[in-house]
Amino acid sequence: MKIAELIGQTTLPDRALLVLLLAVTGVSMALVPLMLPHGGQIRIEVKNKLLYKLPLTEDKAITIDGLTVEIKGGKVRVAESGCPGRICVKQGWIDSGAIICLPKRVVITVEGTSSKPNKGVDATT
Amino acid sequence: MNGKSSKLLAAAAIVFVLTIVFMLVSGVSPHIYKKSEIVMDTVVTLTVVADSEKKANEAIEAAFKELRRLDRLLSFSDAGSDVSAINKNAGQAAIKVSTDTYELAKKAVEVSELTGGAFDPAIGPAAVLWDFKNKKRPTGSELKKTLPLLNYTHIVFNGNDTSIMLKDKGMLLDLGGIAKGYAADRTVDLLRGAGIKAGIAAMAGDIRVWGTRPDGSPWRVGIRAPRGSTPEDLIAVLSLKDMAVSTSGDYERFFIEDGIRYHHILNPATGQPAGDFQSVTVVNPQGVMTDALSTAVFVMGREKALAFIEKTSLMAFLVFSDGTTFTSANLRGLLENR
Amino acid sequence: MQQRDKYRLALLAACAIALHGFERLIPTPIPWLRFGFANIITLITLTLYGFNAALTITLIRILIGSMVTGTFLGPPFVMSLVGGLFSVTAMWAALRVRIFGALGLSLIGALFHNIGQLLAAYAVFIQNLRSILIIAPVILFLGTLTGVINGLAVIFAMAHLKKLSQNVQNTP
Repeated sequence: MKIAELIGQTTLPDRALLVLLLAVTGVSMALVPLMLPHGGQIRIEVKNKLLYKLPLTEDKAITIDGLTVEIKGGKVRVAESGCPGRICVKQGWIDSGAIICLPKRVVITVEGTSSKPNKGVDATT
Repeated sequence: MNGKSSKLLAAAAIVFVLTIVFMLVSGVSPHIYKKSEIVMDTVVTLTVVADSEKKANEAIEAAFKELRRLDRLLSFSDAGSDVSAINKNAGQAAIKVSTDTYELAKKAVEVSELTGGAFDPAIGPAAVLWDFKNKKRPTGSELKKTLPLLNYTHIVFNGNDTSIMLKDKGMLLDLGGIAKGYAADRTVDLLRGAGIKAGIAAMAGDIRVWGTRPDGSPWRVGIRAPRGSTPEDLIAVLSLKDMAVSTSGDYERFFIEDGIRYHHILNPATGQPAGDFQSVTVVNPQGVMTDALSTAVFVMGREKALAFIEKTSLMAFLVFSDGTTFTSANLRGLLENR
Repeated sequence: MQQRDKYRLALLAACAIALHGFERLIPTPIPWLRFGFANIITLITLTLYGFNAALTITLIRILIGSMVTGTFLGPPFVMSLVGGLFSVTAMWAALRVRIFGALGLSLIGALFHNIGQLLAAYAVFIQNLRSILIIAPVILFLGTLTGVINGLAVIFAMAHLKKLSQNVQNTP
């Protein structure tokens, strides 16, 4: 069975759905990173409680419940997680966005440089 | 396979490829890179929008190098600077200086003329008598003696050999009130030349922005609340594209004695801290202008300042001593109060 | 349900578990990339035997799969369960609309599997909407890609099954 035959067995709504899904997810995937703050500081939440608020400027490694979070050179990663999927480890170094470790219920989010009071302010005179 | 479905398939493939391309492009899409260093006795933060960290770092390093060079020329305290050479030879000899120093000193005197002496780069002799760190202030008679020396018209320029001379012995040229704005301008020129399309050069409170944020929106520059409990307390936020902004505030360097606040913005006419304002913020395309004019407007006092702003259509935001504010009409669209 | 159909369902469930196990062996450099090959079986079952059979297979696969991997009642189990239920229900609903082929059904299955998992992640594990929204587009995009692969696999498998059953009928 050739690929062309396989494709020939798809319906118009099938293809329309495929195009729609690719477009919507692709575009949002491209746009979301643009809206996220870079650098600054990270929040580490465990079981929905804020445990740490750390600046990305200071290199540091902390271990929470067998999960090692490493901060280095303005980026953060989960160095070791001890959970089966290790999705959080695979995500590698980030300086924007978030790392989620579902089994341990750990969320690491990167926040902008200016913390809460001056969100969205780039400089101060 | 019929023609219609192959067309549809082709369309799907195109969208798919476009999506992938979009992802790749966004992967190398501009990011904001930031670095701070202490140069010119102040915290300088350079923010650039660049496609890669490497490109950003190279440009930032080159800019800091240029800033250190300017500092060596323009520093008031560094014994090897052009400014120190001019001061040492006050009343004696004309000193050949770099074009940077020459142009900046010339610009400083232009602003002095424009502001009727409210800004004066010859403020040196009075300024050195004040010690804000150790809370020491000069006596009235000490200050009085310096007043004849605070005179920008006695700075003599010779364009032929780019030399500068101070006419009277004891005069001291101090470009500290304008050098940071100039440095911001030069930094922006340099980073632009290096292909950086957008960013912020912030010499402490003397800030110049160019281009826009990566999302196309203007840069947002906060104005400190003069009596805020932390430097993060803002009184207003400006949305700026390709503009410079400076704030002169009585909270930067000061001490309080017997309930009186003595701060570093000195009136060249008296040698004493200027009254009427807590802070003055000026917006202009040129950093060299905002730096000097924010000081000048502060020194002018309420009445003269408002008249000057009106006459020159200056974009300004004023915080008066009683905490009330004034926003010039041409700045209202760019400023939101906090 | 005929006895023969029960055997067939058991066989399909076994296939699903095998595929599920097999896919865990494939190393994926991209986080969140899950092929969801088991959905091939679910979709075939849904088309041939209807909603109840597909639901049964999914539940068996998730229960046995989690026991094999030792994650029974753990977070991955909860995620699989919610994802599986969402996916089967959505595919069944889409099948009833009668406009979608195997590709469309597979895409819908993948989409709702992921939507279900994201909702479960938010409801049960981490009430951090921002971080989930950040990650959602990537997961849904990858799901669409694997949905295409699985959809084509279903078309392929169904065509062969048809040939096979014709051969069986033709032999005396």
